[in-house]
Amino acid sequence: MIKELFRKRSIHVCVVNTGGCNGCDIEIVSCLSPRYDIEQYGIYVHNNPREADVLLITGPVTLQWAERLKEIYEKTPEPKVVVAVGACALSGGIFKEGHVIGGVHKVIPVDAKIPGCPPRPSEIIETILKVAPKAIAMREKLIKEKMEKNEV
Amino acid sequence: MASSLWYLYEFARRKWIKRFINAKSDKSSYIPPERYRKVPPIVKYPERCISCEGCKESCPAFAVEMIYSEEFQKNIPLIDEGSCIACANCVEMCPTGVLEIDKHRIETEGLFFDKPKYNNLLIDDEVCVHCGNCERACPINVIERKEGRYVINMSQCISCKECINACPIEDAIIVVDEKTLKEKIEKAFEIKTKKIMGKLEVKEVIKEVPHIVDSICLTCGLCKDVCVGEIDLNKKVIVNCVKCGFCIDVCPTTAIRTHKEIVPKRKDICYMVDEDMCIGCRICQKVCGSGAIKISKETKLPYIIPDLCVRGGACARECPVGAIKIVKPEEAEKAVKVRIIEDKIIETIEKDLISFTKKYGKVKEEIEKLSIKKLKEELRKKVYEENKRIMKKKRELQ
Repeated sequence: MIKELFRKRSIHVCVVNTGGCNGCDIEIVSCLSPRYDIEQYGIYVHNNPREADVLLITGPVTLQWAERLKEIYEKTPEPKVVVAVGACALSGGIFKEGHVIGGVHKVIPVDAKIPGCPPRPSEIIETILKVAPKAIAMREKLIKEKMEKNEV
Repeated sequence: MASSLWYLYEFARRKWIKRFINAKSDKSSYIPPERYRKVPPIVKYPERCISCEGCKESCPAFAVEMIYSEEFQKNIPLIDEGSCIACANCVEMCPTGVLEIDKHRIETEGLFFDKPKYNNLLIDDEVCVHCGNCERACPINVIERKEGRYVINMSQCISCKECINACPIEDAIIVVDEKTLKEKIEKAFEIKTKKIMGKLEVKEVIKEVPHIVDSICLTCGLCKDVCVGEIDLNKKVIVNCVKCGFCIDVCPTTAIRTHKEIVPKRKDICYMVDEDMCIGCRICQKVCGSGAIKISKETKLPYIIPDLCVRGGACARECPVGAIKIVKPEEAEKAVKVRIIEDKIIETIEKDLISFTKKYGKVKEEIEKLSIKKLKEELRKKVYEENKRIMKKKRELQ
């Protein structure tokens, strides 16, 4: 009810850790803290891909995670943005020689990349704000088109 | 009542309310603290780069690649921003200060620390011929000659492997990386547990008693853990050996071994002394560490034996008149063959002569002794006879 009414036009972010060291996740969590306060921009972090606009993916994508990551990507509703966070998600980072695929871009298409090990919370917020409004605009367009069809 | 008033006064006095209201717009909330994860390092002075690949060696995320630059005519590091983790290892490693990550290099300059690296290089003193090629090849001069042998300064070495390329002998400079160390530790642990459980089968595998090479021993203690007999690591001596060969399998640097041969890398060339130019100073013989140079007994000039020569080039470098030249091995062998055969003949002749003279001396002594004995006897006989004759004559006269 709340999501439908009040958070309808806000950006929903789903955090996915694909086998990293958890450093990037801690940085994402610290975005929620009063110092950075991600919610003041209308961004909500939760773990449900079905209602997400933005997929924040951390970690080097281990071999087991490759299929799961594809499933999660398919589950998210259509105007979606994928953001790879941290050195591991971009190229495998320090896990390059391990049992990893190395880079999110090898599994699913990536819209934005944030380098750093881990990146600063301010950088994460900046990236989401730069990329996500596009997704919102797309969604609004789709909704408008549907509404017009219904009216007809 | 009074206390609550005091609290209110306190909040107002210390601008607490103001700070609370302006928390978001306060400067301290968005300026990152000093030395706080600045990504990534930049190639600030590419003209200083010596293409040593030290940055590539030190990077834990494999983010550095050496790429040929047309502008500077050499390989220059290219840092992949995606995989850089901003650890600043490359900045600390760089011997000439090419890379920069904020103020890290200036702040840490002059501080004493080990250069971060995966591969450590060690000179094997058993096969080293002391040619000095590694010392010349080192771009940052960390190889020094101490007490007649070459030593790499481990803390300052950037493991660029220039010395390995310059070294004339195979495996004379040993690379110790963490991967082999880990494997050997696992192996040692397996054997150790078996030994404690009492399930270790001890057989005589090796023929000789192995020895420890001091210069490449890390004193990691793996051999001591595994050994069925006794090893003294302080003195680096094997006290009691059952020839099981476990220590040889376990050693990460192959410091424990029975025997190692000197194998030269190049066999397609050989050094040869030009006898027309040689002045017979014999500096080359003193410089040579492999004992390949010998002095001919016929001409009294040095010659190089191709089988023993390691192609180090120290002799050619030190020769004051440039009489030592690089030629094909067949040519060198042809030239040296005569000298070797000559030497052999002279040696055998000398040996024979010495043995003959020795025998002659002995025989001579014996003959002298015998002859003196006989002479003495005969003298005595003659004196006796003379005495008899004189006595006879005396009697007759009386």
